[in-house]
Amino acid sequence: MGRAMLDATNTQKTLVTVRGLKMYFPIHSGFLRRHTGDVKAVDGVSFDIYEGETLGLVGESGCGKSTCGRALIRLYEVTDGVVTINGKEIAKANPQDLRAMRPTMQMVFQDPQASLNPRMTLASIIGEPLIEHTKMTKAERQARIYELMDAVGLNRSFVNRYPHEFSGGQRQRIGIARALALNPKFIVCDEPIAALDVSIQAQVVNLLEELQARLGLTYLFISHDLSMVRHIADRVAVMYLGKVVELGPRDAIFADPLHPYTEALLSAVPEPDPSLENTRERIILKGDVPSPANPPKGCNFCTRCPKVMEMCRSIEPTYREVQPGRFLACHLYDQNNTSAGSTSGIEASQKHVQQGELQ
Amino acid sequence: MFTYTIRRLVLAIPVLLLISLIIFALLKFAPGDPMAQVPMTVPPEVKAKMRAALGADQPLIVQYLLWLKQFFIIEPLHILGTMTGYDLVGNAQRVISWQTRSPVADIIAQRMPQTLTVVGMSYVVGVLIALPIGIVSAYKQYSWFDQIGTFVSMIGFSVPTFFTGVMLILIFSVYLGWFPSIYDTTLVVDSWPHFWLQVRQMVMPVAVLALYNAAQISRFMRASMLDNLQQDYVRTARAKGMTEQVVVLKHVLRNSLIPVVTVIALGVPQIFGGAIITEQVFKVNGLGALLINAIYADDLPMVQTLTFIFAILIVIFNLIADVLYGILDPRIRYD
Amino acid sequence: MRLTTALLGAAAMMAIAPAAFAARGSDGELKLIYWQAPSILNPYLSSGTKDLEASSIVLEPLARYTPKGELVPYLAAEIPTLDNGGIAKDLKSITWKLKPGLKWSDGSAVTADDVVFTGQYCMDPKGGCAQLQHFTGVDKVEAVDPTTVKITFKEPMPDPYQPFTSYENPILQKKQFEKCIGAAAPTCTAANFGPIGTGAFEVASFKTNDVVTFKANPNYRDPNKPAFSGITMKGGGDAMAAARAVFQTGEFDYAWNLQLSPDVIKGMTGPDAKGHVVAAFGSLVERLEMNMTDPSPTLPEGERSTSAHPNPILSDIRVREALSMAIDRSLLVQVGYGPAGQPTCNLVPAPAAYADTTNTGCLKQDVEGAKKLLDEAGWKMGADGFRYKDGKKLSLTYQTSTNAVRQDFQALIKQWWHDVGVDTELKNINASVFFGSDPGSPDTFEKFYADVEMYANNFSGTDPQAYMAQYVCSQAPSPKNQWQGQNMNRYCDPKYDAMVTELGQTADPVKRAEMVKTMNDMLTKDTMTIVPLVWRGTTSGVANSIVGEDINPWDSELWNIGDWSRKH
Ligand SMILES: Nc1ncnc2c1ncn2[C@@H]1O[C@H](COP(=O)(O)OP(=O)(O)OP(=O)(O)O)[C@@H](O)[C@H]1O
Ligand SMILES: [Mg+2]
Repeated sequence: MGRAMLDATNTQKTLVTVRGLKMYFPIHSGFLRRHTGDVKAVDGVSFDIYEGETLGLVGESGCGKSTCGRALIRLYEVTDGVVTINGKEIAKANPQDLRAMRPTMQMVFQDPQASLNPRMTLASIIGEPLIEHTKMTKAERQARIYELMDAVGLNRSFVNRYPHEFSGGQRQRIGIARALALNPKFIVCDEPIAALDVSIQAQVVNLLEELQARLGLTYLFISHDLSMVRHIADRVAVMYLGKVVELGPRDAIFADPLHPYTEALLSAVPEPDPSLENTRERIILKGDVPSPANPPKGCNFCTRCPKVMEMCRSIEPTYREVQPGRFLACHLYDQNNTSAGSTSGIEASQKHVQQGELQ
Repeated sequence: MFTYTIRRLVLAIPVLLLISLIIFALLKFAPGDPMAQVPMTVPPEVKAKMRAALGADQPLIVQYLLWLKQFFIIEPLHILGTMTGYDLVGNAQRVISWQTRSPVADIIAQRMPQTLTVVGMSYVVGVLIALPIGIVSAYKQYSWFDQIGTFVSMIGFSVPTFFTGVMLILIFSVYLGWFPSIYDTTLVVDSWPHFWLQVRQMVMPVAVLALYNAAQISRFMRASMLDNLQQDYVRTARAKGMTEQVVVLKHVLRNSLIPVVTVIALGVPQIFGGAIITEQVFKVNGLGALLINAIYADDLPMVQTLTFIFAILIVIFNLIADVLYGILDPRIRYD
Repeated sequence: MRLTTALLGAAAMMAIAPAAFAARGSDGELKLIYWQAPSILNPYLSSGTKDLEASSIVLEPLARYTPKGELVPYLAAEIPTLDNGGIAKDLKSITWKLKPGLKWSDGSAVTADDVVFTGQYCMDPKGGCAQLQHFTGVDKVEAVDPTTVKITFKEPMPDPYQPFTSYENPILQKKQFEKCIGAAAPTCTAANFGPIGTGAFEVASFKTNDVVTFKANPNYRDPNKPAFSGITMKGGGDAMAAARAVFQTGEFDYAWNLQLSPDVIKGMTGPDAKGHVVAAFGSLVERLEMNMTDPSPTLPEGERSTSAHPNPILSDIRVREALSMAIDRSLLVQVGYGPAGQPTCNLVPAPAAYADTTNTGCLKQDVEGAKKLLDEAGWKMGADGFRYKDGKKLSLTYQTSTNAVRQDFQALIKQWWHDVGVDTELKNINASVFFGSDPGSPDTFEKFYADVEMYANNFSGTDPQAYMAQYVCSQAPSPKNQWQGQNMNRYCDPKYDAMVTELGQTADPVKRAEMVKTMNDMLTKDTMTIVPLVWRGTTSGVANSIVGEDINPWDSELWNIGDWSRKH
């Protein structure tokens, strides 16, 4: 790891650009099931993903990570916003253009069992997109399927089996092989290891890393497992209730979380170093996550924030770059009260840069 | 799968025998007398003689064993005989209906065509309407189409067929005079005008039953589609860049059809059972009317035979449904 | 006894319509709807009216009764009488002569052998013949010559016209049924479903419990008849749909037995109706039967409702009379039967010769009179509105079969009886149990485990002798006769028994009629054992275009189907 350097960011090519992405799910109620409100699962999200990097997306369950990932590659009809992948507009593209773009962007799903059609054999699951998007002959297709199976470490003799005949780890490999079939540039990995047991988790993650190295893939790696994100991601985005509250290089974020929510989140991660582990102070957030159908006024986090201020309850903080490469939406770092926070932030980031060079 | 089917069939035999005994006992102990409809002007001695001639005065076990023998040995032999042209039965008594004094099997064979055309057609029509409605309703959940579909199937479910039937008759026969209110079972379709007559007389009964069937099946279809539409594999298919048509019709529909096909298969015996009420309303006089008539007349051999045939059909179609499930769903294997 | 409820001059038009003398088969198809479908066309194997009606289109008796109750020859050349020597002086035999040149519909000749065979067919002990009662007392039936049949009775028969004189016992073709005698009867499905007859039509196709088609009999004795080329007799459904098909859609020409509520019939026979209602009044009387014995459940089984214990309440004639007086029969008719009913006090309301027209005392409701009678009988009004005697409440159980009209009647009568201080407990029993004669069931009308029961009964044909004979002492149902017998009331009067015997030996029609009237009065107004309520007719629907239809309470409604035609 360690390719994503702070100083390197500007030189890298942006593969995915997300601006003001919104995904609302309509709520129908009443006898006539009329549209009476929305679940604001993703509510105005903006970030970039650089070619070849892994952006980790973390946050509590239900904060909108999966929705964000799916909306990004247009598995949902997005409510608003702009997404470009490899220079092409995705969010509002018409169905034909969109299908033509499908090969570039793929997704590995959270639940390997549910994401595979139970009535299709492995061969047809992997082969289907090849028929749709390429002009391969039957034999070429067969060869490609075997190639992919080899790539993810599946025995070739399994080719005519149905998904239920595989183990969980094998199924996730099928999911990955399927995602790779069309040589994508960008893969959304939606908690690809959450449904697997620990020993297999490592295998799958290693496989993903190896493929990234070999094929130059770009990942959006969604997870609530922060240690895993720390391991795999170059940069990390933190979501809370439909919004990205903080985004920055992995090491900077882990060493010096700026947003009180990030801070609370990270305080729950076990420290690999036992000496530090003892001094670790857990920040326990009070109260429940508000409903995305009815988010609070002002800052979304104001109902639970330990450092809440008066203005947080009325004014929504803007999401902006507070330090080079570090984006944040929090009133604590507004222009008039930067002094305390900003210096420590810079120091912290420099420290990590050095660590990075050492590796 | 084959051994499974054979095993199920073999296991079904004792079950069916038990069912036949239960049906027989139920019919026997239910109050009623085949002579109850005989006018009171007929003296009791005459009634007693008539009862004796029917064999209705024999001990229960004798009656039951006789029926078993007739149903399982003589009738199959008779069918074999008519097919091969040899008389295998001789003078042996077949299952004879008390009410008509004629072989039960012949009457059933005579009734079968009208039941199959009307009730069977309504089932086919019902299924053909129900599937697209269910698919579209689920795909466009809560749209106007879905709302109307829900409303119509609510009507189909809850309004009894005798009501819809009589309504249709009043509107289309009495006021508009478009369709006959009474089904002509003697009509032989041998020309276009006769075919047209047949279509006209089938419209109303088929419509009434199809509405009912479609209501049920479209709900199943919709629910099953909704279940599947929310599955991740649908997203996978979309992510693969499949067209919406392929996603819905290939991925979602095929998976959604598995439970629906079994429900449809389980419903098939109902066709043979006829639609008692609708047949009465339109005078189709199929198997349903035959059964209800036989029940009223306490025609024990007829009721026993018909209900037992239904029992066999139910067992068979349960098996067919299971086997279909096994064929359609790779997750299920019978070994 | 014909009563045509015709609307808007339909009757008048029919009356003046000239009888059409069209050629055979010129009026096309006649369509009949019988909401109970015919099951079989052999009247000897079924006594269901629907089956008998259907077979009457094909099979004919030697003679039959007209709607007026007169016997007219059919296959016979003339009616045998004492005067013309057809009936023996000792009343022990009757000799019928067939019309000359009669042919079956297959072209073969009808002979005396066919008549003899028909007698054998029904009287075979293994055949389970449904019409056996018509051959009661018959010793032998023999052919004197090819066109002469002699029926000999074991004893003198004052009414020797029982065998072969109605649609219930017509003549079968020997050739067709020869192999179907006795136990073999049910194996002859083809013959039972398509008997060869002498009537105006022959069977073209038969679908049991569904539809029968007939075509004109090419060998029918009147070369100009029938006017119709064929008949479709459709069965199934319900009376309402049948009525609709005649009155409203006009799909059918004749709908049999429209047992519908008066309002429904009224609603369908408005000015635009395509048909009208006809009604026939036979001998069917809806009545209350008083139990002269004690039905109390405290009595041991076998003694309950037997002559061992007289009824503690109803044994007093004043109570029975009061119960009858409290009833408003006209209202019952209005509520239950409309054009198909008339109030009556007679057990034998028809044929006219046998009906006691002076027995009308019960027609007017008399509540005060009823109260007075009960007072006299010692039943004193209690504080709760019911009467008591010696601390015992005047309380009766009243049973009948399950049937909407009967339950209406029960409710009305319970109310009227309440008005005079009688407490009534109602019970209704499924018809197939109530009339099912199962000696094991406590709920049959023969067991009569109640004080009062209600049902309707009639006699077949025009002669009430057998009907009157039901009320002799020995006919009371009891364990001794396995609860068979039709003397439900357990009425027992030696004088009555003697009259029954005497009636059995009297041949003079005038005298017979007088005797029947006397016996009718003994059972009704004199003793109030039987309390008649409604004289019930049957109604049918006829298309306005049909001419010649003449509904007959004594025979098939289709008895003269050969004479029907269509007005053009
Ligand atoms: N199809 C949908 N219709 C309505 N609401 C939805 C839908 N999908 C998701 N939501 C809501 O949107 C919010 C975000 O859901 P999402 O699945 O994106 O969460 P997540 O962050 O992936 O959670 P997890 O870590 O548990 O997977 C949740 O409140 C969820 O209830
Ligand atoms: Mg998720």
